[in-house]
Amino acid sequence: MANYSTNEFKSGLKVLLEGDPCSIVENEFVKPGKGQAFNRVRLKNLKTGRVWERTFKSGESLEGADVMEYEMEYMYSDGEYWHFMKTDDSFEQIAADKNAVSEGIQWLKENSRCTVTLWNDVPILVVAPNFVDLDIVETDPGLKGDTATGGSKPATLSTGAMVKVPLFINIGESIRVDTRTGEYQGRSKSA
Amino acid sequence: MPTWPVLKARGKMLAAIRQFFEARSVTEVSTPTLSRSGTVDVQLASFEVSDKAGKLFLQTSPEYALKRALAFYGEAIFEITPAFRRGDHGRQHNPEFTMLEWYRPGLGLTGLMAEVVDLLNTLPEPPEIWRTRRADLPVYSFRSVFEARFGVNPNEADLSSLWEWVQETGAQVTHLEPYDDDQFRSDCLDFLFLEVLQPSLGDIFFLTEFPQCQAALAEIDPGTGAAQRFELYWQGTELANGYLELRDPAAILSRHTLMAAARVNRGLPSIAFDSAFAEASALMPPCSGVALGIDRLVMVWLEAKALSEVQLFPWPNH
Repeated sequence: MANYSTNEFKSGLKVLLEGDPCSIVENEFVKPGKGQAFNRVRLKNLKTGRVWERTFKSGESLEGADVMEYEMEYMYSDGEYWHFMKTDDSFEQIAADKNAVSEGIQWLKENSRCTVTLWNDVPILVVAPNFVDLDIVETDPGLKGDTATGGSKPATLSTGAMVKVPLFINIGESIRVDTRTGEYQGRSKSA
Repeated sequence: MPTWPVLKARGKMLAAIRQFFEARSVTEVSTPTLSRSGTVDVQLASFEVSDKAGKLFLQTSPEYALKRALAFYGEAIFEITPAFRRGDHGRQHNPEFTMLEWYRPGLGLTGLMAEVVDLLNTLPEPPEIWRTRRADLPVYSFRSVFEARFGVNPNEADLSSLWEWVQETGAQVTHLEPYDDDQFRSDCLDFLFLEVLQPSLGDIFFLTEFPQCQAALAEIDPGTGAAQRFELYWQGTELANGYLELRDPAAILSRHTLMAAARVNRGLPSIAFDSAFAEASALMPPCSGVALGIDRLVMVWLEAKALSEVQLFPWPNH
């Protein structure tokens, strides 16, 4: 891969830092008076999702990372790997391990479209769609008419995820969840 | 690219600046932007060109030339000129920019700071932030602010403590390498000021009493040991930089020798020093002088986010 110098850093550029693939979030050139110039750079570690803040000497360079993002459809899990298929009609399949799916596991529903990040053709991160519709498999019985008090109760979803739902929601109902916050959004529209 | 209203406002500001100096009998002069000698400042990189006689440098500021003119005529002068700094490119930087620089024989630093405020007050259509702050701009001393936070005079703090404090700021600092010289001290102090001290100082303020290693070409107060400089900060942007001017050729030469050594330490190219300037400095009247970035001034005045919004054909897309 090519090397990129600080003046080529821009948001979205994928580079290697300490052996990990990162995506540049922000890059600002800073030069105090006649002081040493530097670039204040925020990078997102694509393996951990953590954001790092670093200063680089202006003109310093980092190796580019061969990182590609694909939209893929989740198919099934064999317990060890989670299998996805590209949505570009190539029917190409890849298997992601537990580290790659990490917290996304609890939102993976068959046929849902996820973003899969590949580094050197190996999946390192799976991000579930922002909103998923999932069935409730366990929760306390619903309370009729209690739609306005704003109380909530825990519920277990078909994927095993636990979310808080309003008191009037029952087992078997399908609800929409924001996977970024894990919050209940409402009853599924299609249900 | 600036919009037409931005370009028009910029033109009006330049006209107001010229009127201001006309009314105060400060004469506009023009100095060469191309010279056989350049700045030896470690952190300034000059663009180089050449002719049959050898290398020439595009000036990083009109400072040396204006001071030679000052030594020759002894009169109050100002210049609005392009200046060039290789490699400086970002939201607040462009390798070519417009600088206003002026010199006032007989005026001290306090008088010059007041004149900077007077100048800004004559500019058309001041932004809200200037209207609310201008009557009572705080003046902070670098020395006091630093002492209050770190418990030591910035001239006396040892390099290992400074380096430790830099490491403790939270940012992972990889742009600085320890050197055993004043340039390294200055780089650490700059970073600590930027990361730790500046954020608590408000949006528009003057900073005075700089550390000795940042004296550049300013006098050093024999009592406090502080460099007699000021800077004007506006929402994190350095707008102006003024000195009580050093007029001692021997002191100027020794400061330049130190900087030339720091350049060698860092493997930077050597640059011919303007000896005519050093000699002339003895003939300068006691005076103060200040440089103000015009593009940055237009940027903050019009509440723009980046220089590229107020400069025609911004770098690198000429």
